[in-house]
Amino acid sequence: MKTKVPVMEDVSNDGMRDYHRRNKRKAALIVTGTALVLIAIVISTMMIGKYPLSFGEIVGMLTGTHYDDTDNYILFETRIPRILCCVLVGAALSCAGLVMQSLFKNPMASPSVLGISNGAAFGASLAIAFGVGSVFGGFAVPIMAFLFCCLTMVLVYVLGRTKYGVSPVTLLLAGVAVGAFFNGMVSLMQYVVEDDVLASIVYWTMGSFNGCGWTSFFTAAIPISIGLIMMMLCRRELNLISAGETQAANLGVDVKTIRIVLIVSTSLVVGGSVAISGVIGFVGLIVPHIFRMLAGSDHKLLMPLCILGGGAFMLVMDTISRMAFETALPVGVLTSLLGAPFFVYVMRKRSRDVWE
Amino acid sequence: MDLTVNNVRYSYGSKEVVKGVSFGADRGEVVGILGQNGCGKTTLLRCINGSNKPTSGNVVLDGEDTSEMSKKAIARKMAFVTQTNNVTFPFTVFETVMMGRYAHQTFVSEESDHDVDIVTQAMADAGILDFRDRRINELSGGERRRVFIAQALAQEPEILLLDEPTLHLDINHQFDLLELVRRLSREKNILILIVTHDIILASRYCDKIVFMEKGEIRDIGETELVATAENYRRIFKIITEISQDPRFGLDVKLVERDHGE
Repeated sequence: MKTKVPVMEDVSNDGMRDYHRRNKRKAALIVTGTALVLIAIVISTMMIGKYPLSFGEIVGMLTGTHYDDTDNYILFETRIPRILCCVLVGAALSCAGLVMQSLFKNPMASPSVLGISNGAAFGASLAIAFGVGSVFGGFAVPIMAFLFCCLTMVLVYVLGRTKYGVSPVTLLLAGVAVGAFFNGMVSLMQYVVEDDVLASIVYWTMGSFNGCGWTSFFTAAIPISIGLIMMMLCRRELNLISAGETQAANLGVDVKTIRIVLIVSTSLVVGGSVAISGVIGFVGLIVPHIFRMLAGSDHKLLMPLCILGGGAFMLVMDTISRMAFETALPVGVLTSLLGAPFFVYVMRKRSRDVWE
Repeated sequence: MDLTVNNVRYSYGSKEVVKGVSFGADRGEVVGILGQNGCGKTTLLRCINGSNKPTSGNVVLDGEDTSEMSKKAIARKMAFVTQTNNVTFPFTVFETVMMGRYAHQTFVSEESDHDVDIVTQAMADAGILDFRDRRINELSGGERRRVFIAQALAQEPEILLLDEPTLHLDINHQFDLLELVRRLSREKNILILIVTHDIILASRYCDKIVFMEKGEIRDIGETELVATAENYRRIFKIITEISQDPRFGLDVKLVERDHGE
């Protein structure tokens, strides 16, 4: 540890500065690449549908040189709002999963795995079925979803906590218990409500973008943007907290305040998502994991990647569920079919970290 | 005094672990805190850096009560290398050491060349320059320890708290670390508090020693004055022979356990 520095090409500060710049360039490249993928997918999904549109037509409509009543209606009133909703919800759920994994130091965490989505679903169901929270007007559903999100997160956190801190196992078990409880509550509600309300709740608990238009987009855009900005501002604290809370505090992080900020921001984005698209599971587990494998653990990089890549992932999933079958399948069914095996894969691969 | 600990008490539930500890220390000193397991050494360090809020008493840093300072303000002056660090996500060594710069950065600032230079120096001091791309979860216990020492150095601390710093280190790295500690105190005028069980190394490298027993200070002072056979027998129940060796100073020879009385 004395001055006996190993002789290498880059022991000088310049070498390390170059190394740091190289890393930054690499990061910028990955983000740009992911952004390009998202743009390509957005353009393709504008074209794909029961009523196909050509690339030329889309460019024409976007620049105002092509006009056709049906084409324009399909593009501007159906596809674009739906695409925006998909991107918004994909980004929100992915970032929520990322933040929860880092906050709870648990690679298995995600809104659906820890029952947070179920809590939000119950809150939103209350608003849909009984008009609870009607004082909030048009925002009753997202606000109820947000409030129950906060409640569920705190509940899972408190229940999962032991005197030795939050262990991954107790946290997962607490999530299972709380999620099952709220699931049961939603089922109970389905049992007592009228048939027409029942249909809407059932369809909505499966998770889908089928009903998403401009209203849905504006409803969700506000809470999700606020939540994502809060998370972005905490990117550095997320790095330190995910590396260990005690050490983060020693390095100067006000852990208690940041924890509250992160719980509120996660609830905002999950509440906003659940309010318009229902419960779409496992996105928050799959997307952050792909990027952790690709880009490491730094949230300065992971956060933009989850926003862009989460949006792209959700768009692909939605398009498949929309096109692959005779009738449009709820996208939540598809992500669950994909997510459950992925969960098992992560569990096997990361078993050492999870169970130790 | 740059750092003053005033009658600090701390309890876990009803069990009082630190029972009214007072002492002061200045920059440029290496102070060893010695005592048996469970004597409250680590808890005392946690009280000093504000992780534990003393039940009564206070810690004053350059005239300012640490309980009134923000976490960030404390971290700009004081670094703490803890005994264990658990690791969940595979950050690289460079990223981990860079975390030491947190207290010097703002909400929006990017990592500057200045930050990179300080991290480079810290990694060189800890002898881990060639680890920069390795994942922290793939390192051995001793290597990981040196990464966290580099992280603490990247904080540019004026006061460095080390909890069992030589734990998991092989004998060469123990010497390297303690020589680094001495160099930092002399060249950069840092105050270093070391909690340790290692009587021999402490006697050699510390300017001052604080002996703790059952949450209280039993003796404190210049190493030559307090590292006495009498103190080791009284506090550790160990028979020692103390002599001056012209090559390295104070030499403590462990003879046997004291079975007397």
